[in-house]
Amino acid sequence: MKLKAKFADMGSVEAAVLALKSDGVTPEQIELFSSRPVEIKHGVLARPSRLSLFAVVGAVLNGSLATAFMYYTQLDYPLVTGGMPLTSGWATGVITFELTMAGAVAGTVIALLREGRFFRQSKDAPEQMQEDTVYLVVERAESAAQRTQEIVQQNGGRIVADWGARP
Amino acid sequence: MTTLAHAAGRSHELIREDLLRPLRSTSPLYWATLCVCLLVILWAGFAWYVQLTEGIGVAGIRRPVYWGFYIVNFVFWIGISHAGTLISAILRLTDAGWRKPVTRAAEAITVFALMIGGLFPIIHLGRAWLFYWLIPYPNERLLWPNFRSPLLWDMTAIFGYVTGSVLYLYLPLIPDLAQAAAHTGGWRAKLYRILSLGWQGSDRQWHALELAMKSMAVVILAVAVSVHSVVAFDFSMAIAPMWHSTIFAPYFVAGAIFSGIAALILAMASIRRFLHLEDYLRPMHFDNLAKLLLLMSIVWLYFTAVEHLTVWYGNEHLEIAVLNHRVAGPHAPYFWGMVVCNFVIPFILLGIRRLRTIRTAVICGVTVLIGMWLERFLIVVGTLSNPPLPAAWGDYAPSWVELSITAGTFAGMVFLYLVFVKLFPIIEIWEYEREAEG
Repeated sequence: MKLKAKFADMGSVEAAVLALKSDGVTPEQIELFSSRPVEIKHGVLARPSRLSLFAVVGAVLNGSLATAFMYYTQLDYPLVTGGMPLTSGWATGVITFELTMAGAVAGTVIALLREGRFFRQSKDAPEQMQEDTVYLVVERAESAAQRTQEIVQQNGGRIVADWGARP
Repeated sequence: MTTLAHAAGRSHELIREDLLRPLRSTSPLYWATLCVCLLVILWAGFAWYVQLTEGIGVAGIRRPVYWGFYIVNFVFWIGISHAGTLISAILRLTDAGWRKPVTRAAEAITVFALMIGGLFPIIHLGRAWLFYWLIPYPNERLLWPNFRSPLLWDMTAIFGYVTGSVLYLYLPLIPDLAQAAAHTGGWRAKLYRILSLGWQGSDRQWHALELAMKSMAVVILAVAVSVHSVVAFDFSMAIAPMWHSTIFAPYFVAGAIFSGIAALILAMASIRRFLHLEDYLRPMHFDNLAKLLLLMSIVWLYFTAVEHLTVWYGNEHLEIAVLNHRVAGPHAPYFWGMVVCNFVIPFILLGIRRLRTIRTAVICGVTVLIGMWLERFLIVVGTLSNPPLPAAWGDYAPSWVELSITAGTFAGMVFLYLVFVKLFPIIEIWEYEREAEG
């Protein structure tokens, strides 16, 4: 079952999340929604991110592809270079660098879309979010429902049956 | 949260209402300016049409000066593009709290300046319809790309920078678009809903967005520096007097940041005045940017002095010819005008604390833009006017076509900016709300 609650401030949300975690709830079972950045203390709701990895992989991949493309084209149709090396690292380095950076940008955006779950939308997100309100959704087994409800209420949460989720 | 928000002076509703207001209503002056800009753009379009049909000969570029206004404008606008992404990235990475109302205004300048700057190599081609010959792809006509050419470096660098800058502008816009979708109606709401990619405001999305913006800031900083370095390579890779210089890349980057800050001050002052956002773009923001402008003015003077002193002391006859042409010859009024615009005026008006106001910051913004345009002109035209053989020396005067197209690009910049502020919130709502809380 899913339990929904509204909070009036971030401090109460943090306290509720910590209490839920000590009761065995994992970060994967918790979801928060707010119209403003959810700035929760470091470590309270740890969500491991692979965004940096995606950026690095994108950079390496695109940079390698760019270098391979340049070498292929230059060797396949050798230009007259007046004795200069046909595939010079110095001369092609600029393009390698630029396309490496473009790869990092692409990797970052892909990671953002993936980790932000832009294409796997939550059905519990409120359709209209009120100002100064943080919405919390906890997914738990039916047997722990009563205890979860108590934890949330003890930490300032107001249990809501339905807040008009997105269709 | 409510208490904190009210303590900062404004409720969240009021902030949102203020920042979304320009989307709903604008003054008659807005529409008048838009129409004037459109007329100038149409005139510039006509001038370009004349060039396309009559040939590049209608422009003033002649031997020995085969790079004129078009390349000057190209370098100038690419420099202006450093206003946004670079400044925004530095402020974001250093977590400067005052950046919040500034960043989007700056990032929009980058995107539009790049679009305009990127047009000039195509206009300069003459036969603009063959622009795709610049694209590096193996083809059947044996026009294989030469990756050693700085022109190809330019294309790759600018393409990467445009892509990165558009995304850097777009990503932090997503939460605001979701808000705008909820508080507008009709086609706007539909447009914002599509562009917000189904933003839900979950902690996962906020967390990923924050991380992505930090990662993008690091990457875009490197790209921005590299782009203007590559533009500098267009000159410094040529064995030409007063071009072939090792400091050209940092000199260009410093100049780009300098002119970028000037453009940002002008844009912010216009937004503040015409969109009535005085409570958001406060004197403190202008004061901080004015200090940055003053710093860059000193850095610019240092680079300029070093460059000219080295050439003068070296006394190499080809370089001395260009130096004399610039400092004491036909270009001397432009050179000394540039020094006054870029250093003397900012140093006096911004260096004396009592004189440093929004008005003087705007004055300095205008003079710096004029000064930096003159600098680009002196670099491009000065060297080409003085080729090694004195018998081939010549000067350059722009034709009405070049002047019209140049005017059109300035009008184009204003036009694009005006359209942007009408369609999207120019100040980050969610960032500002967070500042109000903090």
